[in-house]
Amino acid sequence: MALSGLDLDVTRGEVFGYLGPNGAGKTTTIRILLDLIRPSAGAAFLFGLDSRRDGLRIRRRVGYLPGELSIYGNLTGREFLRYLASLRGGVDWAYVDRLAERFAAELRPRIGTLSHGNRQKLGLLQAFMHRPELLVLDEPTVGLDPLMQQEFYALIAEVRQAGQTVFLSSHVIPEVERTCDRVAILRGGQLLTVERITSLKARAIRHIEIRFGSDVPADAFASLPGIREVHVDGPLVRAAVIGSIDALVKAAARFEVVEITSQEPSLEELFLTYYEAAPPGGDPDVVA
Amino acid sequence: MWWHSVGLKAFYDQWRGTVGLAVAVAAYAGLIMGIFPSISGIADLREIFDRLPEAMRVLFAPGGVDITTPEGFVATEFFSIIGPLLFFAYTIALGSSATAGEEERGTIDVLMSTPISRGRVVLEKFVSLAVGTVLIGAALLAGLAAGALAGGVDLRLDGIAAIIASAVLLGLLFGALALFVGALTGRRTLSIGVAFGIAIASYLVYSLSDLVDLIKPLRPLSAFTYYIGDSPLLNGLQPLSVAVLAVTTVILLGLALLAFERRDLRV
Repeated sequence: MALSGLDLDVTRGEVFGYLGPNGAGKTTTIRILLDLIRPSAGAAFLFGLDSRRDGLRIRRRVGYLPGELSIYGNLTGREFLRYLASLRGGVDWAYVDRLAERFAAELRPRIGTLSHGNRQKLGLLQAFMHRPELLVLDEPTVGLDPLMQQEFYALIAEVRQAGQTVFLSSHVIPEVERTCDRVAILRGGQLLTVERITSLKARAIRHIEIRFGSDVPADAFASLPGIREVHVDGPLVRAAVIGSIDALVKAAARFEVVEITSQEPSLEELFLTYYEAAPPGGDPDVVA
Repeated sequence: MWWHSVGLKAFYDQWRGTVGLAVAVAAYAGLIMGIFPSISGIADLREIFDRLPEAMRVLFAPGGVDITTPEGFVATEFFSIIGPLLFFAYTIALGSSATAGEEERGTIDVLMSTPISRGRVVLEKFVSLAVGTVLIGAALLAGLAAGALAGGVDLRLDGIAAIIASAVLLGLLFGALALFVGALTGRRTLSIGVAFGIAIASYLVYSLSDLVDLIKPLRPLSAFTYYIGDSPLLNGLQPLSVAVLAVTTVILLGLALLAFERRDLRV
C-alpha cells in the first residue's frame, strides 16, 4: 500500500488509535516505524530519533505486535519469550509471569500446537514484557476471545497510567473508541483526519433497532436530533443515528420497549461523514 | 543456553541435522576405509581403472590420484563428488534459510523488532553455519581415522585433514552464496536453486575441463579448481587456493550484509 502525505504526531503518554479499513496502509506505516521497510521518500521519527539511522536505539524502547504474527512453531511459549527477552537484554520475569497469568497464556506447549488466540497472547506478552516506552500494536485483539479482549483493554488503561505510549491500529471503531485518546483515520494510503475520540463518537453513525410491545406511530421518531434516517414498521423501528443516541432512547421510553439492538458503526459510513463535511452536495441519506 | 543470541538459536535449530549428518558421514567414511583392504586386494584394480575411458577416470579420480593407495581410494570414492556434495548441500540448506527462511515463515518481523541489527543476524547465522560445517569435517576425519584403524590401513591423516579443510572451505563458500541470494531476495527456494546450480556447474566445469578444450578457459572460474585442483590430499593445503576460497566467501558474506541491510523485508 502506498502512503502519501502522511503527517502524524503522537504525544508521549497517550493512546493513539490508527483507524482504517484493511488495506488502508496501517501496517505499512507501522513497518516503516519499525524500520522493517523503508519509505521511498520522507522520514519517521520516534523519540526524536530517525527510524532508519537510529533503528536500534528506537527498537530498544519499543514493543511491537505484528498484525500477522508468525512465531517459531518448534519452540515453547516460554522458550520464545526467553529468546526475545535475551535479545532485549533481559526483562522482569515476575511481570511476565503476571501478564501470562492474566491472559491465561499457555507457555509450556510447543507454539506449533497452539490455537490462533493462544499465539496472539504470546505476541502480546512479548510486546509488553519489557515495559517499553512505546507500544506499537497492529490489530492486537484479532483472534482474542471477548474475555481476553476486555483484559487487553484493561492492560492498555494500565500502561497508559504508567506513562507508556500506545500506538494501536484497528479497523474496528468501538475498539478505538474504547481505548484511545485520539485517533488518526486512514483511507487508501491517505490521512483523512486526526481527532479526539469524543469528536469521533459524535460523528459515528449507529444503527439502532428497537422492538416495541405494540405498534408505534409512524412519526414518533421523526425530527429528533441526530437521527439520519428512520423506518417505522409496526412495532419495529430502525434508525440511523449520528453521535449520541440519547434523544432516540428518550423518545422510545414513552412506549413499551421489548428489545434494543445496536450494530457496530461501520467505517465506510464514518468516511462518508468526512466527505460530506468537506464540499457541499453530498447525499445526506447515507443508508441504502 | 541457546536463547542467548541469534547465532546460538540458529545452532540449536540446526544441531539435530548437524549431528545426524556428522554421524552418517563418519559412518560412511569409516565404511569406505574398512572395505579398502579387500578392494586393494584385487590385483588388477589398477589395470581395470586404467582401462576405463578417460572421461570416467577424470570424473571419478580427479587430480590423477592412484586409487590403489588408501588416500587415492578415498579421494576417488569420497572427495571427488559425494564429499563436497554433502558439505555444500548442508551449507546451502542452512545459508538459504538463514534470513530468507525467517522471511518466508514470517518470523522475521518480531525478530527484527528487537534491538538487533540486521547485519548481526546475518553474521551470527553464518558463524553458526560455519561451526556446524567444521564439526562435520571433524566427524569425517574421525570416521576415516577410525575406519583405517579398524581395517589396519596405513592412512596419511595430514593429507586427509587438508582435503577435508578444503571441502569445508568449499562448503562455506556455497553457504555464503546461498545466504547472499537469500539476503538479497528473501526467497529461499531461489537461493537454493542458484547456489546449487552454481555448485553443480562448478563441479562440471572443473571435471570436464580436462577433457573438453572449450571448457578449459573456464577452469579458473570453478570453485572446485581451488578445492581439489592442486590435490591437497597429496600436496597439503595450497595458500593460493585457500585464499581464493576464503576471500570469495568473505566477499559473498559482505554482499549479503549489504543486501540485507538495504532492503525492505518481505514481511
